[in-house]
Order: sequence, then C-alpha cells, then structure tokens
Amino acid sequence: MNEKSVNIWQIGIILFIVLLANKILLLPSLVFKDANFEGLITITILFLIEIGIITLFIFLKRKYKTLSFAQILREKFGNWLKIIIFLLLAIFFVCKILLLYNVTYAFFNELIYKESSPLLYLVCFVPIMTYFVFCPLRTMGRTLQIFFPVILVLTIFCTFLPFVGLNSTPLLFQSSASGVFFSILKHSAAFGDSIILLLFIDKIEYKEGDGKKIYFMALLAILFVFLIFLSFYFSYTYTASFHSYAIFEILGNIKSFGGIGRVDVISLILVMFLTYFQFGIFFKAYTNCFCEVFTRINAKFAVILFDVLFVVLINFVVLNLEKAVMFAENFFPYISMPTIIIVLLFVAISLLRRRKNE
Amino acid sequence: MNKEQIKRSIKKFFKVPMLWVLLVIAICFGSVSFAKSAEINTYAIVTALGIDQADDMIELSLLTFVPIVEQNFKDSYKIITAKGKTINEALNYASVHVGRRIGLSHIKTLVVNVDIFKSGAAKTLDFLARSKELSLSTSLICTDKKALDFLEVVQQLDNSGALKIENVVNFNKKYVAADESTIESFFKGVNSKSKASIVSFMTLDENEGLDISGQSGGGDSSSSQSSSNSPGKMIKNSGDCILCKDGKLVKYVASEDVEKINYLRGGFEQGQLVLENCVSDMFKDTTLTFKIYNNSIMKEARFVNGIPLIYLDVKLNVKLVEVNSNKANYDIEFDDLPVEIIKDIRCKVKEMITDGLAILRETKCDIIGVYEFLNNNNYGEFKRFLNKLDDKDDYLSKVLFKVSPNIYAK
Repeated sequence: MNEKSVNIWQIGIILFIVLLANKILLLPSLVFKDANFEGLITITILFLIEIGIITLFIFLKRKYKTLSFAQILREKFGNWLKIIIFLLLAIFFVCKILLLYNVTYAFFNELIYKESSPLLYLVCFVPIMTYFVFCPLRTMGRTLQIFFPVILVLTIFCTFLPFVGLNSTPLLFQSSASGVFFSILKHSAAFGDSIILLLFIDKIEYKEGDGKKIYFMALLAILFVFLIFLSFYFSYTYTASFHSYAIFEILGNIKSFGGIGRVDVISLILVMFLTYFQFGIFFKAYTNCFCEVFTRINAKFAVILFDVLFVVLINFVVLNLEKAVMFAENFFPYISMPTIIIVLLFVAISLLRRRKNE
Repeated sequence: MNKEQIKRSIKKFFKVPMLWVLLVIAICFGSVSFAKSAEINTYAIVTALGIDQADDMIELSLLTFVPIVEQNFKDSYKIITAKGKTINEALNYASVHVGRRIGLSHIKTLVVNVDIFKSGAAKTLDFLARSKELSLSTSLICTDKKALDFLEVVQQLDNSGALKIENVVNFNKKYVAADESTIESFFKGVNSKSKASIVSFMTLDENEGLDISGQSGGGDSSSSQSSSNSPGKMIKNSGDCILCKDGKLVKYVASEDVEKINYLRGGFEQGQLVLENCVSDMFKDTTLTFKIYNNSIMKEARFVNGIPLIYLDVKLNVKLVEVNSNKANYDIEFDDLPVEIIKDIRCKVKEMITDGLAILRETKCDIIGVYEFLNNNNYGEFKRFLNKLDDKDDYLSKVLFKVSPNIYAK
C-alpha cells in the first residue's frame, strides 16, 4: 500500500458517506410531493444505478489493476472523449457542491443560525473543503476512519429511534407509474455519487474478495436511507410535504409524542459531520476531473478558481432553499442523468471490447 | 526542553493552516459578535397563541415573554393583541406593537375560538402549517370562549409556576375519554382522504376546572379564585372534542362519546369501565369498576360480495378496582368473576364501539383510518367498492364491522 492509496474499508466509508449524506435531509419530502409513498420505488430504482456503478467499478478494478479512470478512457476511446467525459463530471460535481452547500445553509440558517451572515458560512466551509483537496486521499480516508464510529452511532440513533411510537399508516397506491418515472428524473440530482469510486480507482488498494466489503458498505448506507424514508413517511403521512428536513423532523416527531426531549439536536451533529466530509469528497472529485480536462493547469489553480467562483456564485446566485430546490429539480437532472448514463455506457463498452479481444 | 526546541514546536504549530483559519474566524467574527447586541434582546418570545374571529378580521392574542434586563418573569410576561386580515398580517402588527421580532418557536399551545372552526380553520391556520419556526407538534385547543380570555387564565397559571396547560393537553392522549390534538394531527386529518380531524375542546368555567393555583378544582374547591384578575374563570378540560370535516366543525363530541370513539381507535393507556347493576350468583345490584391499563386492536379486512368487512379484535387489560355493593366483597379479584360478568363487559365494550361508530358514520368523519386500512389492504376491491357508492364520502356507513372484545386480567 503506497502513501497515496486508501484501503478498501476507507473507500467503503467514503462511499457510505456520499450515499447517505445528501439523501436524508431534503430528498424524502421532495420525493413524497411527486410520488407519495411510492417514492420508495423512485429511490429503489435510483439506488440500482448506484449499485450498477459499484459493480462496474469492481469489474474495472479487476481488469485494470493500476490504471486510472482517465488512462482507461484514453486507452479505449482516445483523448477527446476522455476530456468530454471529465468535463461533464467536473460540472456534475460543481452542481453537487452548490446544491449541497445551499441545502445545508438553508437548513442551519432556518433552524439555528438565523442571524449569521453567509460570509461566516463560507469562512467555515471553504477552507476545510480546500484543505481536503490538498491532503492525500489516504489522509482523508484515515480521518474518516476515525470519525466513522461516531457517524455510525449517530446514524443508528437517528434511524431507529423515530420508529418508537409510530401510529399512523401512509396511504399506498396513490401515485401512477408516470408519477414515479417523472420523480426518478426529477430527483436524479441526488444520486450518482458512487462515480467517485471510478475517479479514485487507481488510488484504491484492491484484493480478491474486496468487492463484498464495498457492497456491504453501500448496502448499509442504502438500508439507512430506506429506514429514514420509511420512518419519515410513517411519522407524517399526509403532512410529509410540510416538513422539509427529514432527519431532523423524524426526531422532532418523537419529541412531541414520546416526550423524550430535544433529541433532534443529535441530527444536527450528524448533518454537520456528513456535510463537511461530503464537501471534501466532492471537491476532491471536482479537482480530479478539472485537472484531467486542463492537464497543463495544476490542482492549486483549479481549487483557487473554484473557491472564487463558489464565493461569487453562492453570494449572488443562490443561498435560498426554493431556488436551490428549483435548480436541483429542473436544471441539475439534465446534467446528472446524461453524465451518469454516458459514464456507465463508456465503462460498459470498454469492458465489452476487452472481453471480445480476450 | 530547551528554548530552541520550544521555538521550533511553536513554529511547527503555527504552520498548521487550519489554525490560521480558526484565528481569522475568532478575530473577525468574534469582534463583530461583541459589537452586536444579544439576539435575545431583539425578540419577543411567544409561549401561547390565541386566535379569535373579529368580524372579517383575525384577532391574535400572543402570550409573550419580553426579555428585559432587571425585570422579573411576571413583569415581562404579557399578552399582546393585534388584528389583521391574515395571521401573518396580525403578527406583523404585533411585532410593531411590541417593538421586537415575534419568536414563534417556543409556542406550546394554540387556542382557537370555535367561530374560526365554524368558518373553516384550515385556511386560517395555513400560515402556521407553513411556518418553519412554529413546531407542528404545538397543542391545538378549540374553545367556545374568547381565546384572549383563555390565554389570560393560561398566563395566570404560568405565573403561578404550577401546572402548565400543555401538560394537561398532552395527558389527553393517554386517557380514554379525551383526545390530544396538535396542529400536525389537525392538518393530517384535513389532508387525508376523509378530510376528518378531531380537536380538543376546552372551556372556561366558574365552578370546575384547573384554577390559577395550578390545581384541579371541582365544585366548591375554587378557594384561590379571589386572588385572580379574572375571577370565576378556570380552564375546564373534561375531554370534550369537536369533529371537523375539511377543517370545518361538524359536531361537538362530549367526553363520553369521545370515549366510545377511542374504544374503536385503541391505543389509550388509561381509562375505566363501569358495569352497573351486575347480577350474578356473587352479586346483586352491584356496580363494578374496572381500570383499563391497555387497549390494543388487531384489524383484519375481507371483501364479501364487494363489501368490506373489518374484523376488530379488541384486547383490553383490566383490573377490578371497585365493587359498590351492599355486601362487602374485599376478597374478590378479576379472576374470581363469573362468566356472566365477563360477558357483560364484552357486551358493554361492543355497545361502546357500536355507538362510537354511529357517531363517525353520522358525521362522515373517518378519524380511525378505515380508508387507509382498506385501501392498503386490497386496493383494487376497495376502489371498486368506492365506485359503486352514490356518495363516496359516506363509505364508512357501508363498511361492515365485526367486533370481538377479549378481556384479560392485568
């Protein structure tokens, strides 16, 4: 294992965080608005895409043990296609970071820091995001390894406690097939996160049988997401769309009916942890893509450029939950869906070609 | 450690980039924070909200704590009133009246005058449902008196530092002959297919209720009333409720009827069952009182010739707590009771459930989740059943119920 690589558990934790983080806050309520309880079908289908990406990653890792994703694409399809794919991926991750930042800002701004200026948020987030980019992936993996037990305990707490005292049943079979299909397209922006596995493919130590560990971590995150969706829908049934922040609201529901107290504060800590790490991972992924597109520009320039653009975009374009949701539902899917499909398609073609040659 | 080593470790310490970030945050934002006045000084914290209808306007009464230095709680705890065409407008005026921002996040109780329910409360309360500040778990109380008067009594209760009104409302959920309602439960009902919801109803009474000393008074026990600013007013929570359809009041339900409905809903933790005029080998003209500890209902649905039939398996855990008889029977336990008495209890439970169902059928208020249960159980059959009905809203009266109560000793 060299200094820059991560072991399979570390990448598993990274995967766990990106699969869990941006699906437990705003998504349950938004999916419910479009597909009611059948929103669970929506996320099942979108999670199948994630599983597909993970499967492709395992195949690629077995075939090309030391090559990076860029090298694989260049070798198979030439330089221009590689650049196009990485440009799409760079835009994909920029959109993800913008969306994540807006949702987190709105969440903390509405619930706790009402008086804080957007500048304070930027000062709190941007340096740490930047630091994550410059530190090796292994440092990030180790940091996550240290924090993972805390994150896991908090996630278990926030997932299982809301099931205490649930007494209402949501109405099933209210959404049509087209409603579910439409919601898949609309909410695809929150998925496709496992693409980071492909971007870090050459920095992952992989032995035979490690695929199971990756699947385990992914399925664990998916299970938690499903349980949070379920408890949210069972807690609020008809008023689920009134409640924007699922993980916070499901704990608030216990407070009101079980009298346990302000346990919802626990969810704030979990969201804080997840947000920081997810920012770091996405920012690293963006820098990776940017450097593959503009090979003559170094990572420092990519980061500085992004930081400046980020500060400008955040302060003048968004920072409003309604706008962020509008962006996520109406604009981002047209970037995320084609990006995921193109990446999957090219990876699949490269595997098929290889098989034919063999 | 020599000086050189200390110097080196300090240098190393300051090479950590995150430390510089921390210092920048501490210096810049710390100094800005010192210059600002405390956030608490800009807010008026509302603990209870009252809503009355005033002609075509909404009258808001806000039981508000205005934090002011060197003033005690009682001096800072006031009722602010404001009128507006909507709640939002009235809140804005209230904010102007008090010269501070109105903080809604500490509201525990919402008191709404019955006139609002008569004209449709869903549209009036819409602002509160959308507000991210106000918790939807806030208790909702309907009253036939002015909400302002109601809050005056709540204010006195709070000043006395004794029982809080929200504690009283919260207990309703556990008791068989009452019901707890929140903004959440009200809107859940309004947005459900049946559009039905149940709301706690309380009134102000001169002789009975929760007096300002914070004790539950009854009859002649209102000795502390003379010290009250509004003499003769006590909050009376007898467990009464109102049934609403689409947010509009359709029926007052007395606590004994709420009890009947709750036997059908299940889930309560405390109640009592009184069996009068029991006659058996053991008793003659005896009144038996049982304490109910737990009530659970298992439901099963079948469609017979396209008509839904719901089997209700009611399980009651009871304990014999009182035997009113001419003859002393101190050694009698539940297990000693003859079969006829157990049968009588079953009949009584069946009767209660039948009566409860009749109320819901009459008002077309499905607050027991029959629609959801049948829809989730057999979607196709239920849809066909609904399509056959002339009045789809009246589905409850066409659904058949078969009740089998099982009584167990605690």
